[in-house]
Amino acid sequence: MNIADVYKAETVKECIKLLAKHKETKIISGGTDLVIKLNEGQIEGISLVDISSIKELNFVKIEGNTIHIGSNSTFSDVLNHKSIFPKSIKGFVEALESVGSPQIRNAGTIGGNICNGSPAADSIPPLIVLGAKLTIISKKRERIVDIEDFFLGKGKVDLGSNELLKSISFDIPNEDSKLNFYKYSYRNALSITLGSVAALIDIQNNIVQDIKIATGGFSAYCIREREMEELMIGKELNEENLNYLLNSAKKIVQKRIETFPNDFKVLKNITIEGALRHVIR
Amino acid sequence: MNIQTVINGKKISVNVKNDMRLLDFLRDELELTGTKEGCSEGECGACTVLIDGSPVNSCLVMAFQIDGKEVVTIEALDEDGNLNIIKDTFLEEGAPQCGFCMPGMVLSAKGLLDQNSNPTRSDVKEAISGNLCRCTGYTTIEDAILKSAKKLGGKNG
Ligand code: FES
Ligand code: FES
Repeated sequence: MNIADVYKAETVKECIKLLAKHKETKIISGGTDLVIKLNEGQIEGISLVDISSIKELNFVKIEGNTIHIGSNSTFSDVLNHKSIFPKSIKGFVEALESVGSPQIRNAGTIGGNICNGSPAADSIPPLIVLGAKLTIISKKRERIVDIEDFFLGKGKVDLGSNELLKSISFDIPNEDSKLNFYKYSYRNALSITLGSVAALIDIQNNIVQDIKIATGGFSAYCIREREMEELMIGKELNEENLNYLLNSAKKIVQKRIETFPNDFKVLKNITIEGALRHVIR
Repeated sequence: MNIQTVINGKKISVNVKNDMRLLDFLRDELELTGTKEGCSEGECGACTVLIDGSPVNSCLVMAFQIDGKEVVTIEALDEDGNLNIIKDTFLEEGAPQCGFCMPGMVLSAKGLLDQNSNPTRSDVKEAISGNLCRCTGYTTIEDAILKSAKKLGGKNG
Protein backbone atom coordinates (compact mmCIF):
# COMPACT_ATOMS: atom_id res chain seq x y z
CA MET A 1 0.00 0.00 0.00
CA ASN A 2 1.26 3.44 -0.87
CA ILE A 3 -0.39 6.52 0.64
CA ALA A 4 1.13 9.98 0.53
CA ASP A 5 -0.45 11.79 3.45
CA VAL A 6 -3.40 11.36 5.77
CA TYR A 7 -5.55 14.11 7.23
CA LYS A 8 -8.44 14.07 9.61
CA ALA A 9 -11.33 16.52 9.32
CA GLU A 10 -13.70 17.01 12.24
CA THR A 11 -15.95 19.57 10.57
CA VAL A 12 -17.23 20.25 7.06
CA LYS A 13 -15.27 23.50 7.06
CA GLU A 14 -12.03 21.74 7.88
CA CYS A 15 -12.72 19.13 5.23
CA ILE A 16 -13.30 21.53 2.34
CA LYS A 17 -10.25 23.52 3.39
CA LEU A 18 -8.12 20.37 3.27
CA LEU A 19 -9.60 19.39 -0.09
CA ALA A 20 -8.89 22.85 -1.51
CA LYS A 21 -5.32 22.84 -0.24
CA HIS A 22 -4.16 19.35 -1.15
CA LYS A 23 -4.23 17.82 -4.59
CA GLU A 24 -4.70 14.12 -5.33
CA THR A 25 -6.81 13.43 -2.30
CA LYS A 26 -9.55 10.94 -1.67
CA ILE A 27 -12.17 11.19 1.00
CA ILE A 28 -12.42 8.18 3.29
CA SER A 29 -15.15 7.41 5.78
CA GLY A 30 -16.30 3.81 6.25
CA GLY A 31 -13.52 2.57 3.99
CA THR A 32 -15.50 -0.48 2.92
CA ASP A 33 -14.72 0.04 -0.78
CA LEU A 34 -11.67 2.27 -0.73
CA VAL A 35 -9.49 0.23 1.64
CA ILE A 36 -9.87 -2.86 -0.58
CA LYS A 37 -8.68 -0.84 -3.57
CA LEU A 38 -5.79 0.64 -1.57
CA ASN A 39 -4.79 -2.74 -0.21
CA GLU A 40 -4.82 -4.31 -3.68
CA GLY A 41 -2.76 -1.43 -5.07
CA GLN A 42 -5.51 -0.36 -7.48
CA ILE A 43 -5.18 3.15 -6.08
CA GLU A 44 -1.74 4.46 -5.19
CA GLY A 45 0.10 7.56 -4.15
CA ILE A 46 -2.93 9.61 -3.09
CA SER A 47 -3.59 11.36 0.21
CA LEU A 48 -6.58 10.53 2.37
CA VAL A 49 -8.94 12.91 4.12
CA ASP A 50 -10.79 11.04 6.85
CA ILE A 51 -14.31 12.34 7.45
CA SER A 52 -15.51 9.49 9.67
CA SER A 53 -15.52 11.82 12.70
CA ILE A 54 -17.58 14.62 11.10
CA LYS A 55 -20.67 14.42 13.30
CA GLU A 56 -22.56 17.25 11.58
CA LEU A 57 -22.93 15.07 8.47
CA ASN A 58 -24.44 12.22 10.40
CA PHE A 59 -28.18 12.86 10.59
CA VAL A 60 -31.55 11.75 9.34
CA LYS A 61 -34.37 14.24 9.56
CA ILE A 62 -37.78 14.92 8.13
CA GLU A 63 -38.63 18.55 7.39
CA GLY A 64 -42.14 19.06 6.08
CA ASN A 65 -42.45 16.55 3.28
CA THR A 66 -38.73 16.13 2.71
CA ILE A 67 -36.28 13.61 4.14
CA HIS A 68 -32.67 14.76 4.53
CA ILE A 69 -29.85 12.32 5.15
CA GLY A 70 -26.31 13.41 6.02
CA SER A 71 -23.75 11.84 3.70
CA ASN A 72 -21.71 10.50 6.60
CA SER A 73 -24.60 8.46 8.03
CA THR A 74 -23.80 4.77 7.94
CA PHE A 75 -26.37 2.35 6.58
CA SER A 76 -27.01 1.28 10.18
CA ASP A 77 -27.50 4.91 11.25
CA VAL A 78 -30.17 5.39 8.58
CA LEU A 79 -31.83 2.08 9.42
CA ASN A 80 -32.01 3.12 13.08
CA HIS A 81 -34.46 5.78 11.91
CA LYS A 82 -36.64 3.45 9.91
CA SER A 83 -39.57 3.81 12.30
CA ILE A 84 -39.96 7.45 11.26
CA PHE A 85 -39.95 6.63 7.55
CA PRO A 86 -43.34 6.45 5.85
CA LYS A 87 -44.50 3.13 4.38
CA SER A 88 -44.29 4.58 0.90
CA ILE A 89 -40.49 4.33 0.92
CA LYS A 90 -40.33 0.74 2.12
CA GLY A 91 -38.15 -0.22 -0.86
CA PHE A 92 -35.48 2.25 0.22
CA VAL A 93 -35.30 0.64 3.66
CA GLU A 94 -35.16 -2.83 2.08
CA ALA A 95 -32.31 -1.73 -0.16
CA LEU A 96 -30.29 -0.53 2.83
CA GLU A 97 -31.04 -3.73 4.73
CA SER A 98 -29.74 -5.71 1.78
CA VAL A 99 -26.34 -4.01 1.87
CA GLY A 100 -23.42 -6.29 2.72
CA SER A 101 -23.28 -7.61 6.26
CA PRO A 102 -23.85 -5.99 9.67
CA GLN A 103 -20.16 -5.05 9.75
CA ILE A 104 -20.39 -3.37 6.34
CA ARG A 105 -23.62 -1.56 7.28
CA ASN A 106 -22.00 -0.30 10.50
CA ALA A 107 -19.08 1.22 8.61
CA GLY A 108 -20.24 2.00 5.07
CA THR A 109 -21.95 5.34 4.56
CA ILE A 110 -24.70 6.38 2.22
CA GLY A 111 -22.50 9.16 0.85
CA GLY A 112 -19.72 6.68 0.13
CA ASN A 113 -22.12 4.37 -1.66
CA ILE A 114 -23.14 7.25 -3.93
CA CYS A 115 -19.70 8.79 -4.51
CA ASN A 116 -18.04 5.50 -5.44
CA GLY A 117 -20.31 5.34 -8.46
CA SER A 118 -20.27 1.56 -8.39
CA PRO A 119 -22.40 0.03 -11.17
CA ALA A 120 -24.46 -1.85 -8.63
CA ALA A 121 -24.62 0.24 -5.44
CA ASP A 122 -27.66 -0.97 -3.55
CA SER A 123 -28.93 2.33 -2.18
CA ILE A 124 -28.93 4.17 -5.49
CA PRO A 125 -31.81 2.77 -7.61
CA PRO A 126 -34.35 3.66 -4.87
CA LEU A 127 -32.83 7.15 -4.52
CA ILE A 128 -33.05 7.65 -8.30
CA VAL A 129 -36.76 6.82 -8.45
CA LEU A 130 -37.33 9.06 -5.43
CA GLY A 131 -35.73 11.90 -7.40
CA ALA A 132 -33.11 12.50 -4.71
CA LYS A 133 -31.06 15.68 -4.80
CA LEU A 134 -27.45 15.85 -3.69
CA THR A 135 -26.04 18.88 -1.92
CA ILE A 136 -22.37 19.28 -2.75
CA ILE A 137 -20.05 21.79 -1.18
CA SER A 138 -16.61 23.16 -1.91
CA LYS A 139 -14.69 26.11 -0.51
CA LYS A 140 -16.14 28.35 -3.18
CA ARG A 141 -19.74 27.27 -3.56
CA GLU A 142 -22.56 24.93 -2.75
CA ARG A 143 -24.54 23.27 -5.52
CA ILE A 144 -27.40 20.85 -5.88
CA VAL A 145 -27.40 17.98 -8.38
CA ASP A 146 -30.09 15.47 -9.30
CA ILE A 147 -28.77 12.07 -8.32
CA GLU A 148 -29.68 10.84 -11.77
CA ASP A 149 -27.21 13.28 -13.35
CA PHE A 150 -24.47 12.58 -10.82
CA PHE A 151 -23.24 9.38 -12.45
CA LEU A 152 -21.05 9.84 -15.50
CA GLY A 153 -19.51 6.44 -16.09
CA LYS A 154 -18.25 3.36 -14.30
CA GLY A 155 -16.82 4.72 -11.05
CA LYS A 156 -17.07 8.25 -12.45
CA VAL A 157 -19.22 10.85 -10.75
CA ASP A 158 -19.84 14.57 -10.98
CA LEU A 159 -17.75 15.46 -7.95
CA GLY A 160 -14.66 17.62 -8.15
CA SER A 161 -11.55 16.74 -6.15
CA ASN A 162 -12.24 19.84 -4.00
CA GLU A 163 -15.86 18.93 -3.36
CA LEU A 164 -17.67 17.07 -0.60
CA LEU A 165 -21.12 15.49 -0.76
CA LYS A 166 -22.99 16.92 2.21
CA SER A 167 -26.44 15.48 2.12
CA ILE A 168 -29.10 13.64 0.19
CA SER A 169 -32.68 14.90 0.15
CA PHE A 170 -35.89 13.58 -1.34
CA ASP A 171 -39.59 14.27 -1.06
CA ILE A 172 -41.81 11.64 0.48
CA PRO A 173 -43.89 10.20 -2.38
CA ASN A 174 -47.66 10.63 -2.25
CA GLU A 175 -49.66 8.00 -0.42
CA ASP A 176 -50.92 6.29 -3.55
CA SER A 177 -47.40 5.41 -4.62
CA LYS A 178 -45.24 2.65 -3.30
CA LEU A 179 -41.56 2.02 -3.67
CA ASN A 180 -40.59 -1.57 -4.39
CA PHE A 181 -37.04 -2.90 -4.49
CA TYR A 182 -35.62 -6.25 -5.47
CA LYS A 183 -32.07 -7.46 -5.77
CA TYR A 184 -30.31 -10.59 -6.85
CA SER A 185 -27.00 -11.60 -5.35
CA TYR A 186 -25.23 -14.92 -4.98
CA ARG A 187 -26.08 -15.28 -1.31
CA ASN A 188 -27.81 -13.20 1.30
CA ALA A 189 -25.22 -11.46 3.39
CA LEU A 190 -22.11 -9.96 1.81
CA SER A 191 -21.45 -10.72 -1.86
CA ILE A 192 -21.74 -8.24 -4.64
CA THR A 193 -25.07 -7.50 -6.24
CA LEU A 194 -25.88 -9.18 -9.55
CA GLY A 195 -28.59 -6.74 -10.34
CA SER A 196 -31.25 -4.70 -8.60
CA VAL A 197 -34.37 -2.82 -9.62
CA ALA A 198 -36.37 -0.14 -7.83
CA ALA A 199 -39.80 1.01 -8.96
CA LEU A 200 -41.90 3.85 -7.62
CA ILE A 201 -45.32 2.93 -8.79
CA ASP A 202 -48.84 4.30 -8.58
CA ILE A 203 -51.54 1.83 -9.57
CA GLN A 204 -55.23 2.82 -9.53
CA ASN A 205 -57.92 0.32 -10.56
CA ASN A 206 -55.19 -1.91 -11.92
CA ILE A 207 -53.98 0.85 -14.27
CA VAL A 208 -50.40 2.02 -13.91
CA GLN A 209 -50.92 5.76 -13.44
CA ASP A 210 -47.28 6.53 -13.00
CA ILE A 211 -44.07 4.59 -12.69
CA LYS A 212 -40.40 5.35 -12.26
CA ILE A 213 -37.90 2.55 -12.68
CA ALA A 214 -34.18 2.52 -11.92
CA THR A 215 -31.69 -0.32 -12.12
CA GLY A 216 -28.29 -1.19 -10.69
CA GLY A 217 -25.98 -3.69 -12.31
CA PHE A 218 -27.41 -3.42 -15.82
CA SER A 219 -25.29 -0.57 -17.09
CA ALA A 220 -21.95 1.09 -16.33
CA TYR A 221 -23.73 2.85 -13.46
CA CYS A 222 -27.13 2.92 -11.82
CA ILE A 223 -29.64 4.53 -14.16
CA ARG A 224 -33.23 5.58 -14.58
CA GLU A 225 -34.95 3.33 -17.11
CA ARG A 226 -37.24 5.72 -18.97
CA GLU A 227 -37.73 3.42 -21.95
CA MET A 228 -39.09 0.74 -19.65
CA GLU A 229 -41.30 3.22 -17.79
CA GLU A 230 -42.95 4.40 -20.97
CA LEU A 231 -44.04 0.89 -21.82
CA MET A 232 -46.09 0.69 -18.62
CA ILE A 233 -47.52 4.17 -18.05
CA GLY A 234 -51.28 4.21 -18.59
CA LYS A 235 -51.33 0.44 -19.18
CA GLU A 236 -53.39 -2.12 -17.36
CA LEU A 237 -51.31 -4.30 -15.07
CA ASN A 238 -51.93 -7.66 -16.68
CA GLU A 239 -49.81 -10.59 -17.76
CA GLU A 240 -49.76 -9.52 -21.41
CA ASN A 241 -48.51 -5.98 -20.74
CA LEU A 242 -46.05 -7.20 -18.14
CA ASN A 243 -44.63 -9.80 -20.52
CA TYR A 244 -44.24 -7.17 -23.18
CA LEU A 245 -42.28 -5.03 -20.73
CA LEU A 246 -40.10 -7.93 -19.61
CA ASN A 247 -39.19 -8.89 -23.17
CA SER A 248 -38.44 -5.30 -24.08
CA ALA A 249 -36.40 -4.82 -20.91
CA LYS A 250 -34.26 -7.83 -21.79
CA LYS A 251 -33.61 -6.35 -25.23
CA ILE A 252 -32.71 -2.98 -23.71
CA VAL A 253 -30.25 -4.60 -21.34
CA GLN A 254 -28.78 -6.95 -23.95
CA LYS A 255 -28.00 -4.02 -26.22
CA ARG A 256 -25.82 -2.52 -23.48
CA ILE A 257 -23.82 -5.70 -22.93
CA GLU A 258 -23.50 -6.91 -26.53
CA THR A 259 -19.78 -7.55 -26.23
CA PHE A 260 -19.94 -9.50 -22.97
CA PRO A 261 -19.62 -13.31 -22.68
CA ASN A 262 -22.71 -15.36 -23.26
CA ASP A 263 -23.21 -16.73 -19.75
CA PHE A 264 -23.06 -13.18 -18.40
CA LYS A 265 -25.80 -12.15 -20.84
CA VAL A 266 -27.98 -15.08 -19.81
CA LEU A 267 -27.51 -14.18 -16.16
CA LYS A 268 -28.50 -10.55 -16.78
CA ASN A 269 -31.58 -11.68 -18.72
CA ILE A 270 -32.78 -13.81 -15.86
CA THR A 271 -31.98 -11.09 -13.33
CA ILE A 272 -33.75 -8.20 -15.05
CA GLU A 273 -36.81 -10.32 -15.76
CA GLY A 274 -37.09 -11.68 -12.24
CA ALA A 275 -36.39 -8.38 -10.52
CA LEU A 276 -38.89 -6.45 -12.65
CA ARG A 277 -41.56 -9.04 -11.91
CA HIS A 278 -40.95 -8.51 -8.21
CA VAL A 279 -41.19 -4.71 -8.26
CA ILE A 280 -44.05 -4.11 -10.67
CA ARG A 281 -46.98 -4.92 -8.44
CA MET B 1 0.04 10.45 12.09
CA ASN B 2 -0.11 10.63 15.87
CA ILE B 3 -3.39 9.36 17.23
CA GLN B 4 -5.11 9.13 20.59
CA THR B 5 -7.24 6.08 20.95
CA VAL B 6 -8.60 3.62 23.45
CA ILE B 7 -7.80 -0.04 22.84
CA ASN B 8 -9.49 -2.56 25.10
CA GLY B 9 -10.11 0.10 27.70
CA LYS B 10 -6.54 1.43 27.68
CA LYS B 11 -5.86 4.96 26.48
CA ILE B 12 -2.90 5.17 24.17
CA SER B 13 -1.18 7.85 22.16
CA VAL B 14 0.74 6.35 19.30
CA ASN B 15 2.22 7.06 15.90
CA VAL B 16 0.61 5.05 13.12
CA LYS B 17 1.92 4.55 9.61
CA ASN B 18 -0.21 6.12 6.88
CA ASP B 19 -0.51 2.92 4.94
CA MET B 20 -1.54 0.59 7.75
CA ARG B 21 -4.95 -0.96 8.09
CA LEU B 22 -6.39 -1.30 11.57
CA LEU B 23 -6.03 -5.07 11.23
CA ASP B 24 -2.27 -4.79 10.60
CA PHE B 25 -1.86 -2.22 13.34
CA LEU B 26 -3.52 -4.50 15.89
CA ARG B 27 -1.64 -7.61 14.84
CA ASP B 28 1.79 -6.29 13.89
CA GLU B 29 2.25 -3.21 16.06
CA LEU B 30 0.25 -4.03 19.18
CA GLU B 31 0.74 -7.80 18.87
CA LEU B 32 -2.93 -8.40 19.45
CA THR B 33 -3.03 -11.40 17.17
CA GLY B 34 -6.43 -12.65 18.28
CA THR B 35 -7.94 -10.64 15.44
CA LYS B 36 -7.64 -12.83 12.35
CA GLU B 37 -7.16 -12.05 8.70
CA GLY B 38 -9.20 -14.17 6.32
CA CYS B 39 -10.23 -12.60 3.06
CA SER B 40 -8.97 -9.00 3.39
CA GLU B 41 -12.06 -7.76 1.59
CA GLY B 42 -14.92 -7.61 4.03
CA GLU B 43 -16.42 -10.99 3.17
CA CYS B 44 -15.46 -13.30 6.03
CA GLY B 45 -15.67 -11.33 9.29
CA ALA B 46 -12.61 -13.02 10.83
CA CYS B 47 -11.14 -9.56 11.44
CA THR B 48 -14.23 -8.20 13.25
CA VAL B 49 -13.58 -5.76 16.11
CA LEU B 50 -15.83 -3.28 17.85
CA ILE B 51 -15.35 0.40 17.09
CA ASP B 52 -17.35 2.60 19.45
CA GLY B 53 -19.41 -0.49 20.23
CA SER B 54 -20.29 -1.54 16.67
CA PRO B 55 -18.86 -4.62 14.94
CA VAL B 56 -16.82 -3.64 11.88
CA ASN B 57 -14.23 -5.34 9.67
CA SER B 58 -10.77 -4.18 10.75
CA CYS B 59 -9.42 -5.08 7.29
CA LEU B 60 -11.49 -2.24 5.83
CA VAL B 61 -10.50 0.51 8.25
CA MET B 62 -7.27 2.49 8.11
CA ALA B 63 -5.42 2.53 11.42
CA PHE B 64 -5.25 6.34 11.60
CA GLN B 65 -9.05 6.47 11.44
CA ILE B 66 -9.41 5.16 15.01
CA ASP B 67 -8.11 8.48 16.35
CA GLY B 68 -10.59 9.58 19.01
CA LYS B 69 -12.44 6.26 18.88
CA GLU B 70 -12.59 3.18 21.05
CA VAL B 71 -11.64 -0.27 19.83
CA VAL B 72 -12.44 -3.60 21.46
CA THR B 73 -10.70 -6.80 20.33
CA ILE B 74 -11.04 -10.39 21.48
CA GLU B 75 -8.20 -9.77 23.98
CA ALA B 76 -10.35 -7.34 25.98
CA LEU B 77 -11.35 -8.20 29.50
CA ASP B 78 -14.11 -5.65 29.69
CA GLU B 79 -15.27 -4.25 32.97
CA ASP B 80 -18.77 -5.71 32.88
CA GLY B 81 -17.37 -9.09 31.97
CA ASN B 82 -19.85 -9.62 29.12
CA LEU B 83 -17.13 -10.63 26.74
CA ASN B 84 -15.83 -13.26 29.15
CA ILE B 85 -19.26 -14.74 29.67
CA ILE B 86 -19.74 -14.99 25.92
CA LYS B 87 -16.30 -16.58 25.46
CA ASP B 88 -16.94 -19.13 28.23
CA THR B 89 -20.36 -20.00 26.86
CA PHE B 90 -18.91 -20.58 23.39
CA LEU B 91 -16.53 -23.09 24.98
CA GLU B 92 -19.24 -24.76 27.07
CA GLU B 93 -21.41 -25.23 24.00
CA GLY B 94 -18.52 -26.67 22.03
CA ALA B 95 -18.94 -23.94 19.45
CA PRO B 96 -15.34 -23.66 18.26
CA GLN B 97 -13.85 -26.30 16.00
CA CYS B 98 -10.75 -24.99 14.29
CA GLY B 99 -11.44 -21.68 16.02
CA PHE B 100 -10.34 -19.35 13.26
CA CYS B 101 -13.69 -17.58 12.97
CA MET B 102 -14.23 -17.40 16.71
CA PRO B 103 -12.76 -14.00 17.63
CA GLY B 104 -14.94 -12.40 14.98
CA MET B 105 -17.98 -14.43 15.99
CA VAL B 106 -17.61 -13.55 19.66
CA LEU B 107 -17.31 -9.83 18.88
CA SER B 108 -20.34 -9.90 16.57
CA ALA B 109 -22.16 -11.65 19.41
CA LYS B 110 -21.07 -9.00 21.87
CA GLY B 111 -22.14 -6.24 19.46
CA LEU B 112 -25.58 -7.84 19.33
CA LEU B 113 -25.99 -8.58 23.05
CA ASP B 114 -24.88 -5.10 24.11
CA GLN B 115 -27.79 -3.72 22.07
CA ASN B 116 -30.36 -6.45 22.41
CA SER B 117 -30.39 -8.45 25.64
CA ASN B 118 -33.20 -10.67 24.46
CA PRO B 119 -32.48 -11.73 20.87
CA THR B 120 -34.42 -14.29 18.87
CA ARG B 121 -32.63 -16.96 16.85
CA SER B 122 -33.23 -14.93 13.73
CA ASP B 123 -31.65 -11.84 15.34
CA VAL B 124 -28.64 -14.01 16.13
CA LYS B 125 -28.46 -15.36 12.57
CA GLU B 126 -28.60 -11.80 11.23
CA ALA B 127 -25.91 -10.60 13.66
CA ILE B 128 -23.44 -13.26 12.54
CA SER B 129 -24.41 -13.16 8.86
CA GLY B 130 -21.14 -11.34 8.12
CA ASN B 131 -19.04 -14.02 9.82
CA LEU B 132 -18.15 -17.11 7.84
CA CYS B 133 -17.37 -20.40 9.54
CA ARG B 134 -16.10 -23.27 7.44
CA CYS B 135 -16.34 -25.84 10.23
CA THR B 136 -19.40 -25.77 12.42
CA GLY B 137 -22.55 -25.27 10.38
CA TYR B 138 -23.38 -22.36 12.72
CA THR B 139 -25.96 -24.09 14.95
CA THR B 140 -23.70 -24.49 17.96
CA ILE B 141 -22.59 -20.89 17.57
CA GLU B 142 -26.20 -19.68 17.55
CA ASP B 143 -26.94 -21.83 20.59
CA ALA B 144 -23.94 -20.37 22.41
CA ILE B 145 -25.08 -16.80 21.69
CA LEU B 146 -28.64 -17.50 22.81
CA LYS B 147 -27.32 -19.12 25.98
CA SER B 148 -25.02 -16.16 26.60
CA ALA B 149 -28.01 -13.85 26.31
CA LYS B 150 -29.79 -15.85 28.99
CA LYS B 151 -26.78 -15.74 31.28
CA LEU B 152 -26.43 -12.03 30.75
CA GLY B 153 -29.96 -11.52 31.97
CA GLY B 154 -32.31 -11.65 28.98
CA LYS B 155 -35.47 -13.71 29.35
CA ASN B 156 -35.99 -15.73 26.17
CA GLY B 157 -32.71 -17.21 25.08
S1 FES C 1 -10.36 -10.42 6.74
FE1 FES C 1 -11.68 -8.76 7.09
S2 FES C 1 -13.60 -9.54 6.48
FE2 FES C 1 -12.27 -11.14 5.94
S1 FES D 1 -14.62 -23.06 13.83
FE1 FES D 1 -13.38 -23.27 12.07
S2 FES D 1 -13.98 -21.55 10.89
FE2 FES D 1 -15.42 -21.56 12.46
